[in-house]
Parts: sequence; structure tokens; C-alpha cells
Amino acid sequence: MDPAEQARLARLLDAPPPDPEPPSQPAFTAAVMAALPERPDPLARPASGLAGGWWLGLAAAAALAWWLPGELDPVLAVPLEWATPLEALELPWLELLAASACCAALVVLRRIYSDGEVAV
Amino acid sequence: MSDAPGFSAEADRATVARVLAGDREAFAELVDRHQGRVRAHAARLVGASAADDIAQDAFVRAFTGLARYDPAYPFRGWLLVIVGRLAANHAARRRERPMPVDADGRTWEPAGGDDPAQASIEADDAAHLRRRLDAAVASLPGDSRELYELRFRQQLTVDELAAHFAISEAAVKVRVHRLRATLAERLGLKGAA
Repeated sequence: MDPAEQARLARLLDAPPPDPEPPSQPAFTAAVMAALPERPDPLARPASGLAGGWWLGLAAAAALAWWLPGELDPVLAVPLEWATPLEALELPWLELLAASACCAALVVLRRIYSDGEVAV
Repeated sequence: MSDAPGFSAEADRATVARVLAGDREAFAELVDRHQGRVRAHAARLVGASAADDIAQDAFVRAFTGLARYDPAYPFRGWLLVIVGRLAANHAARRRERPMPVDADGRTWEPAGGDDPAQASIEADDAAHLRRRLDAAVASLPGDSRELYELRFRQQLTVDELAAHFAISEAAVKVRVHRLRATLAERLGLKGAA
């Protein structure tokens, strides 16, 4: 490849020509409009630092559930009126707490990755 | 990123605000303005046969998640990034690399991308050079090819790419630099990497 050709190719590499745009098609616009939901997702919010806070909270809850030794005092851990029936069930509080945190994390992950696809 | 004649990023922001305020039909203006570029970008990433489906899905996803759009950046760039992600999903579903297409929307196979014997360009006409470049780009992994298309062909800025991909501008610059060096090497460009 001669130097002039190399220079042309290098210029092309940095500024490839844009693809020719197909003309606007009213049928395409109509198809898109027909496929739209009634309104944008009201739960869609711009990413913010709050998302990081949720992750941190989940990680802290999971770490706490993992680290706390022994059994929690049911009177302190749950409202008094719940304590007796729940205590009678002999529920493993730490495991429940950890499982809850994991479920919340899975919900968040499901929100990010849908069916193994990149979220868009 | 330059705006096409007749409209501007500012007009897009105003239209987006109207849609978010409840004017659903205003979204048709955005579709009319950007469908050409979006469909062309989709065709390059997934081939002409699936391009319109990907483009339509991109507009629907954009509408649904419109509240996530950051008006600090051009709407068109956000749309093109959505197209790229949908193209990646499309390729994953098909478990094969997206088939690149040339400017006329025809599908084609990369020609001798890694073969040094074919690295020399046989003719000096512009069309042949473009084919050489397209073949080299097509030999890249999907995410690198998407980055090349967005940065160089669609002219998205570094800060725009950083915002859309949620990575630092320094990371974008490093990836672009490596990508360009790889392409220059595959094209046999001496001293251009």
C-alpha cells in the first residue's frame, strides 16, 4: 500500500461516510405509533445516586444477616403482638432476613437484565 | 453530533417534554425526524432484513423509557444506543454475529479481514477503500463494532458515549483508542495506529 493510499484509508478510518438514510416512511411512523403503549412508563426514572444507595442497603442487610450470631430476641426483632405466633412457628429470622435481601436483589437484577438480555 | 437540516437537538428536547406532559401523538414527530438514521444504523448492525423491526422496537422502548432520557445529550444519540443494545440482544438470540451490510443495505461477508496477503489494497478508488474499512470493522467483536459505528460514523461525542454507557470519559477514550489501533493494524496502516 503506497503512502497516499494509506493516508486516504486513515482519513476514512477516522471519518467514515454516513450511511445513506432511507426516506421517512409514513407507514413506518404509523406502525411505531400503533405499537406504543398509552403513556411512557411512569416508573422509569433517570439513574441517580439513589440506585447505588439501594445496592449498598441490600449488601449491608445481607452482610448483617450473615454476620449476626445466634438468635434474635423475638421481642426486639418483631412487634410484640407478632412475637408469640411467629415464635411458635420457630421461624429462622436470620435466614428469612437474608432470603428477603436476596429476593430484593433478584428483583433489581431482573429489572436490569430481562431474560438474559441487555436492558434497553 | 451534528443535527440533520431542519431540526435540532433543542427541538427534540421540546418534543420530548410535550410527550412526557401527556401529548402522546407528539412522539410521531420524533419518529419522523429520526427514523432514517435509526433504520440505517440498525441495517448496518443487524442486516436489512431485521432492521425495521429493530428500529421500530427502539422507538417503542424509547417511548416507554422516555423518563430515563437525559436531555443534556441529543435525543438521537440515545436512540442509536438503544438500537445498538437491541442489535446485541438480537444477535444473542440468533447466537450468531450480526451480519453487517453495506451502504445499499445488502448483506455481505467480511472479506479476508485477517489475511495479511489481502491486506494490501488493490485499487485506489473510494468505494474499494470503504469496502476494506467495512470488512475490517465487520471483523471486530459486536461491542467494538457498535462503539466504532457510534463514535466515528454517527459522530457521538465522548461525553455522550460515557453518559449512555455509564462509564467514564477516560474509559471511552481508552476503548476508542484501542479500537482504532486494532482497525489500523488490520488495515495494514503503518504508523497510523
